[in-house]
Amino acid sequence: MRLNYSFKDRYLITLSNRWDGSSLLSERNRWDTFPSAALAWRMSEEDFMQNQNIFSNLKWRISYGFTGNNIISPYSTRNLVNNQLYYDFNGSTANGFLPGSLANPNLAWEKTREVNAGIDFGLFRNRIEGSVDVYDRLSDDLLLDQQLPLESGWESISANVGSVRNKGVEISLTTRNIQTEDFTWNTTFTFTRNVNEIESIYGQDQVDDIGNNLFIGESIDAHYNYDFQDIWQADEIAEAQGYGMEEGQEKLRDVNGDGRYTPEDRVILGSTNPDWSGSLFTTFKYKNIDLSASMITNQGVLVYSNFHSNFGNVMDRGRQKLDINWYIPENDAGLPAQTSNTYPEAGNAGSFWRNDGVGYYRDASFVKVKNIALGYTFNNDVLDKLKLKNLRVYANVLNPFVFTDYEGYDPEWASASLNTGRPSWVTYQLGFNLKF
Amino acid sequence: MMKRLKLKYIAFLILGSLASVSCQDYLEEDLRSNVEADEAYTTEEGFEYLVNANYGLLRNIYGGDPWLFSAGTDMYAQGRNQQPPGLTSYTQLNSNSNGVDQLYSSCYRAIQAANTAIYYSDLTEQTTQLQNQIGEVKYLRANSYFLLVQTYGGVGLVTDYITERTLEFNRNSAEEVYNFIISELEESLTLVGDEAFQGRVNQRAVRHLLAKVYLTRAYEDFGSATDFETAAEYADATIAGQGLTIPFQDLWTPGNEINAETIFSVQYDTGSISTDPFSLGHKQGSYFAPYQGGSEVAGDAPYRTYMLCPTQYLIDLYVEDDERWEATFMNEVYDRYYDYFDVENHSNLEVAHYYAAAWEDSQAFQDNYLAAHPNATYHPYGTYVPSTFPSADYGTIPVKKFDDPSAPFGDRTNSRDIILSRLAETYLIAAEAYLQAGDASTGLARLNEVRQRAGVDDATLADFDIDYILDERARELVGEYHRWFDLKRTGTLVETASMHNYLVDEGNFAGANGELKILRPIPQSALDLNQNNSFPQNPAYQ
Repeated sequence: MRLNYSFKDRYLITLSNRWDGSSLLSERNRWDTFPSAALAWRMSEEDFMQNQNIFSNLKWRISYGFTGNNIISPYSTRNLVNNQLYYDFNGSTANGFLPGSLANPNLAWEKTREVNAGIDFGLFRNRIEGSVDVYDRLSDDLLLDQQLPLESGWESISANVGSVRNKGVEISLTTRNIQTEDFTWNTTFTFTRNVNEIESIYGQDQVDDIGNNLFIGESIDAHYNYDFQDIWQADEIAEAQGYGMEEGQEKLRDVNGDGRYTPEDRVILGSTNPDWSGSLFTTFKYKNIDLSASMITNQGVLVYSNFHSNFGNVMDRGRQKLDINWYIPENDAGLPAQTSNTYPEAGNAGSFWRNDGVGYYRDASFVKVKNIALGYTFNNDVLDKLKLKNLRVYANVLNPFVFTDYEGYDPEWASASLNTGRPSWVTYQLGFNLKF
Repeated sequence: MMKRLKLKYIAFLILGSLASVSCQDYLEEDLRSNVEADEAYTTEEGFEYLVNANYGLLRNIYGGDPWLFSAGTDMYAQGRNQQPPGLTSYTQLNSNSNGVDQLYSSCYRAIQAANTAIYYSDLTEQTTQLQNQIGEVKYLRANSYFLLVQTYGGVGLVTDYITERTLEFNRNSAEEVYNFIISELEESLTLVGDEAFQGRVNQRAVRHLLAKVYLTRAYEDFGSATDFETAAEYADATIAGQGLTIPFQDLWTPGNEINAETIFSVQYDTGSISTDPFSLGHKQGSYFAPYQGGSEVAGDAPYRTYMLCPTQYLIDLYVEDDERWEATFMNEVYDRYYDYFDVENHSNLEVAHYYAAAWEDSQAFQDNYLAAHPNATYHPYGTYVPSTFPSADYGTIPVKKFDDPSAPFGDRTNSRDIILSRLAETYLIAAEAYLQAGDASTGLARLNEVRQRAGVDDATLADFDIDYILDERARELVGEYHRWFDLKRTGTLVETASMHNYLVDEGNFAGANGELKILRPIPQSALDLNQNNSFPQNPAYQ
């Protein structure tokens, strides 16, 4: 249900409500209501704004509302006997069936309350246009596939696990830098910053759930692990032994300073969520020639790099391996010693490197030019001769430049599994658009 | 204006709520592809699926990598390929070491399946076999707890069917876990059937496990003074006068896994793994042997990991008369490895590799052998063990007991049963139980039954001690999944592993709090998922 009302084109009110039902959720909780309300004030329409020529458009907006999420595997509320196990008794088949995951008879909507305040503006006869939004979204009853304690014998349950808050700001700015008959130049900037923070889990805000990577006050995409420092060197053997480590193995930060590496030394290292993202799109037009380019950036991204963990693995013979500066101790095998503070001795990495993957976190911040396009549109007199309505020839290059410290395939996909995230190709295109 | 708006709003509200009522039916699911547990397990057929699933989970427990059973012991050591370092040499053993969680997760999964079956046994159709089935499930659950308590010490006793999200679990003492295991097994004994072993738990299997549990508890400081005697009684009741009459070699003939001496085994069959022969089979045959070639030898030789290779200690345990030497090891490898199984008459086969036994350690023997088999690669005694850092294919002596010539080439394709208990082991349990109970001569008699079948001289009372029993267990039970538990039970792990495994030193066992790393750590994944933050880690890993 939706209700719009506007008064003198200055005051706008929108009220709406939805009643949504989802068969994915439990019978008791499958229906919920999601009301919302929005107010806007087009200040630039007010009488007192008519005597200035700075603001060509100025609109204040505020909204408050609820949305729902029910994205969860179907039949999660039911104990379906759908996991087949194979067996036989002296050759005669005796297959069995068990439920695949623990049913959740209380599954309910994940409900997000959003407050959004924004401003749309146009300056100097819309030579500069833009908007600024700040928001605060609180998602209650977050839906997740939650891993269960090993002692339960169940692997997972689809459950409402807690509350997570997203606060952020989004800015968009379009400037028409030059506007003459022959030459125009426009640019659009965007800037986004989002802070993601878990407020509570399982109805409390004191105890983290390490196993499900849910940490109160931290991002839901946080990385929690030992903090890799560098490599134990030959002159540090005695100290390394105190930690149960050897020369050429990983050195960690002993967070609690007890002289040993224990699970209590694990800390939040960072998060896959960027600190901020931005984009820039710009277009030049000079007579018949047009040139445009777009660029995006993510900054402050910490990923667990599947690229490094896969190609840095020396445990089997079959796979390709990175040519990296492994630590090589003094040896009598004829191999020149090589010191390194980034990679351990190949084949002799400690358990934190091998099992916890402490050495594979990478900053995947990047600036990427997504597209550069150059075009030429033919004049009408040429078109008339050719009996065409429109002809434009162009050259395009997609993904021409990436600026990053990340060594893997593509920083934009650094956190994806190697099966899904592969490099973006640099693509060159030549073409023409033709209209008869 | 405002009033009209309000009225409209109310009208919509009413409409909306009407809509939501009438939509209820629309959201009803009619589920035809799968059945819910309450519906399935309350029928006779469905309950049988549930019991079968309990057996099926044995494959989860035993079918994968045997690190927790065999690594870091005196009998097997790392060959050319690296094993998980923590479980192999103890220095880097911690709560997140590779393989540490294997039994913790697979046993608790099996335990919950058993709890489910016991819960539904009250609700399901009351059939004639129901009591047997309950007994079988109780045995399987007790077996899981026995694996857990030996591996990790006291663990949480979870005996109820869990139907709600449960996030906190507590630790019970090892004593409580043993008491539970024993009372469950003793109950199981009154429920299960007594027919010959065909894959299902029978009374004999329960008695054998009871003997083993009592024997193991007897060494614990909370064990009862009569535990050794009780273990001996159960072992004798399992033996029930049956001698070891099958030639040792025949016990391991492919296809002969269910024989008169088999007490309990994890069942496999080409049919029951045919859905995915490359992941539903087991791995026992992939270990205890060197690499013998890649896919180019598919069909001619098995895939081998070059891990858990027999140590010099194990090789040295055999004497010339011992039939177990040739029946356990492929000491003579034919050009086509599987011809040993596939060709009846071996006399015309070319030999590719020969591994000389301790009594064949002479130049004369080697010269004679090579004169007769000029194309063979001769591996002199002392050279084909992990401590010599072999790097060539066939660099250590292969164990052949578990070979499955019909299996496709892969590391988890074996379709022969995994033998968990057999009669000769019952004799060895009896031998140990009588010895520790102070009746060495009866113990010796039990042990000598095993030796006589192998064709070697009787041991004497002067030789007979716990080390002798451990040696005999090594000779008899190569590759069977007992060794780490044997050493742990008898308190000999630190001494024997560091003496005989080139990657283990006594100092490697030094853990936190002055404790030795004998019990395994509670897996970090278990601690991290358990919302009970005071669930304690074992002291050596704190």
